[in-house]
Amino acid sequence: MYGNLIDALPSVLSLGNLLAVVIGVVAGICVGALPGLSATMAISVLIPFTFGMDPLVALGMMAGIYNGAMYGGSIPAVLLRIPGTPAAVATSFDGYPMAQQGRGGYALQVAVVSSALGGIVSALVLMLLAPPLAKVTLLFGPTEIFWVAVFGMSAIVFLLGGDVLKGLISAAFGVFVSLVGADTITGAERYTFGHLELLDGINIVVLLVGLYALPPAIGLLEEVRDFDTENTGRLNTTSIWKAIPGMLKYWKTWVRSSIIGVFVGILPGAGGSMAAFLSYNEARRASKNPEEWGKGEPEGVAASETSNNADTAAALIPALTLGIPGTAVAAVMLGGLLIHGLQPGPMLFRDNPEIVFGFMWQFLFAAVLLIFLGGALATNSFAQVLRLPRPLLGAIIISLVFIGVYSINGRMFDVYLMLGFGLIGYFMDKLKFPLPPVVLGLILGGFAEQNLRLALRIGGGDWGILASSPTAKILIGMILLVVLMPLFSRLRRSRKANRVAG
Amino acid sequence: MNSEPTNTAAERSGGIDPDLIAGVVIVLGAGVLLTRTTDMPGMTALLPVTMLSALIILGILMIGRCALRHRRRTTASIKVFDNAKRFVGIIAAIAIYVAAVALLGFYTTTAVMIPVVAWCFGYRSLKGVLLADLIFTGGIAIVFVLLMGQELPTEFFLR
Repeated sequence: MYGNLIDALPSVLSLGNLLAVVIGVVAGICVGALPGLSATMAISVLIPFTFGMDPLVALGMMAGIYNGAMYGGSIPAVLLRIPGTPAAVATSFDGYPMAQQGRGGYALQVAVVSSALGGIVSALVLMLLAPPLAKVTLLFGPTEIFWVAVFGMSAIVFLLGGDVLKGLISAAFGVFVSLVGADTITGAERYTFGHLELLDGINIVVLLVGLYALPPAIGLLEEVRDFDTENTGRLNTTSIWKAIPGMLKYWKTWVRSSIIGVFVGILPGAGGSMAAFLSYNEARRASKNPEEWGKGEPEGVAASETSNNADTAAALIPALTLGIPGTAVAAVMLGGLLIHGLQPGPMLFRDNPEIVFGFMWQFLFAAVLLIFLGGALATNSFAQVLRLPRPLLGAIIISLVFIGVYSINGRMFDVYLMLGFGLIGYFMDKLKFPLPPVVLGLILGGFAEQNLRLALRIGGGDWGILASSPTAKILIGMILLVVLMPLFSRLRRSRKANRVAG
Repeated sequence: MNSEPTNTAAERSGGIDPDLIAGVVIVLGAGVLLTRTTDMPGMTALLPVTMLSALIILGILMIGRCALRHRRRTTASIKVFDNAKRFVGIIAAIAIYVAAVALLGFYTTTAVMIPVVAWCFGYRSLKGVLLADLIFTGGIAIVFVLLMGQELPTEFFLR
């Protein structure tokens, strides 16, 4: 089972692939360090540029960006109390007080070492768990695959938190978008409005770039604010190798936070920010001096950063094995796999083992690389990213987004479509409609329809086939659990609140 | 459901709950698209009808929730625009950029757009703007023309 993992190693160690990971990590740190930009946005912009590349080079860059951005988010969180990514909110609780005390450099070093350790654990768990899980899912037929797709969508809507009604609307919209184009079985056109460009459906990259890359660019130009970058000039950083021995006392926090991060990462719908908050709270509870937390306790930075990086590769376990991305970044990465002709799911492990296992190695390398990029010079350089003028950055991103989408098919139609999705994404974001269910709906919608129709054909049109196998019944039970659990807990909370009020 | 109710947002958005507008747009949009499923074969129409019907029901639920909030004299705390004038300016800039790329060509338009947009939206360093423009547009030209041989919309003077 793990033989393929070893076989994939030599190709990953080629210069081109290693360089891709390095570029990805550096780019990810820069993007993560810029408030308003995220790994999701960076990967969305990158995907169209990777068309002509070898899949492993493209995936290596994505793995690097994901790991780098998770650490990069801690830079403004520590120096400005503005988290670069949502997952870095908890890092600012103790990181910023440390920067005010002139220990910003040490806070960033704790962040980089903890991020690297969290990432390494996450990559190892991905390597250990994904292959056996993929083997089990190979036994699934069309009925089970249909229910797995429904489970994925339910999980992201109901476990994501927030407004369930809006989550359901987002998912239904995503599924609807997946239906545009010619029906693969009957050939009938669906919502093409006479445009030949829509016959093949809507390219996932057009949707991803529109939803995830254009709104942040608009946001950069819309905001009228300058950051107080005073703290970026005085980091007082020493060599990271001298600093590491002093950090070893956080080993318990590293272990605990890694476990929390990995567990949250595997759960569809949960993300890095949830992992960071849970881990921060647990570490504070276990601490001998909880009263010092929030005033500049480095262990708080360690807890938050370990778990938000431990979430990264773990989030890809359901994505790679079942085709269910648990987070927005995982969804975007699935988009990246799809444009290289790689269909996520159990078949990926059978048909392209060198790529899928190579991707896992790249996650591990990206995590290790973080430590080498956490040296004094690099830390100081990355902190300077915060000085980049935001209007200039916004203009450049708009241009990059244009190039990326245009180069998919060399036509303006995709650009117009992307602008439409960009506007929809902007308003959805402002009205607090979650975006991950849209992407998941687009990825899983067509997949679910195809398997549903196949299952019905096998069953001679009998809908009962959908609940005929024990696996299908278990999956239906899991869906009901995912849907009903948050409703029950909400009901319990409101009863409790009524009791307190009464 | 997750939004903490407050009545100041109503004033901000001119008295109309943004969720109400979204709900109406969803119901109307899905309704119009649903009428186009009548000429589709049965199995082809199955999922579109299901999804659009679901969108209509969910949209109605959203409108109902807004009505309930209105009756309780509370509005969801949603601020749609950070700065409406700037938003309109940005959308106009993007639209002009895209139209100009199709008309004048990619490199010409981008070389003009980056400094103009950055300047208009607050970055007032001539040296910085021109340097960034040169590096970015030049870099893209090197990557796409020389290294990748990929064509972007052709310049008007080369057609």
